[in-house]
Amino acid sequence: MHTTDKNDEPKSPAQSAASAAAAPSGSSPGLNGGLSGANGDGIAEVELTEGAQRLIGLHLKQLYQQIVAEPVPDEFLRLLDELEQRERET
Amino acid sequence: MTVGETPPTFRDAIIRSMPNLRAFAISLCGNPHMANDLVQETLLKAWSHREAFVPGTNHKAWLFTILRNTYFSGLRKSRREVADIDGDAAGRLVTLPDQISHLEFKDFQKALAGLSADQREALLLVGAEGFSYEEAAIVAGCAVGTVKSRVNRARQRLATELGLDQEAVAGKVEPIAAFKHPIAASLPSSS
Repeated sequence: MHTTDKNDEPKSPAQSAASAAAAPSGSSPGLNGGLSGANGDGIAEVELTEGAQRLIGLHLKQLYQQIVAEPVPDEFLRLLDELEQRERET
Repeated sequence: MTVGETPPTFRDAIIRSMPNLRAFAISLCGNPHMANDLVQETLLKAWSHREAFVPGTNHKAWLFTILRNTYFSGLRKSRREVADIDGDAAGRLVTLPDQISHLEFKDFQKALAGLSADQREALLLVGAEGFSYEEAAIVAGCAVGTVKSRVNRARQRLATELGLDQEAVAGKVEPIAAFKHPIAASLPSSS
């Protein structure tokens, strides 16, 4: 149960593999940089509680679904109409 | 070209995916105006490359791929990673379910915008849009493990930003905290 600080917290092989894959040697620093990124600092690997995960999931879905539920702006439909029209004329 | 009739299903498929495509664009770039441009560009590209779509594959995922490629190539050009936080976007939500009302929704949007674009994309694809890790990997053009790792880190980062990880941290810290126990503290330190 209690792990001493000598034993690194147990990581599933899948997790380690995923972390390794996340940092390919040639990855563009422009998009990946700026974050703690590097693994093994312990903090980045802390497992979230179920409650925290659930809250984040709820927030995310709520935010997203609210936008999904909005009517599609006319300009997009008009654009599709135009594209279709233009094609018929050619 | 006289036979250029677009099968109605292609247009229909676009229209069907439009609300989600738009939600993805807005959440990804954090700015409704920029998102509009992004969706428009995506529609134009999808239309002009529609013969590149493989029938029977996921049409929505195809559109998402075009949109994210457009977004990321723009990012690479501008070297700007943090999403713009638009006041309109932050203020668009009024009602919230009780369970999450104790968290400021604005804070959540801000935290989301503060993620790296890679992490935000992964989290949106999996956690919001509901793509499988495999589908998300195809859309993002990376390994499945990379998507998982990005989603995990995005969640952790959000939890930290929002102060949701205290329990988890407390659990982790317990063995170390034991050293601060009065009895342990009263022991003479050996070194």
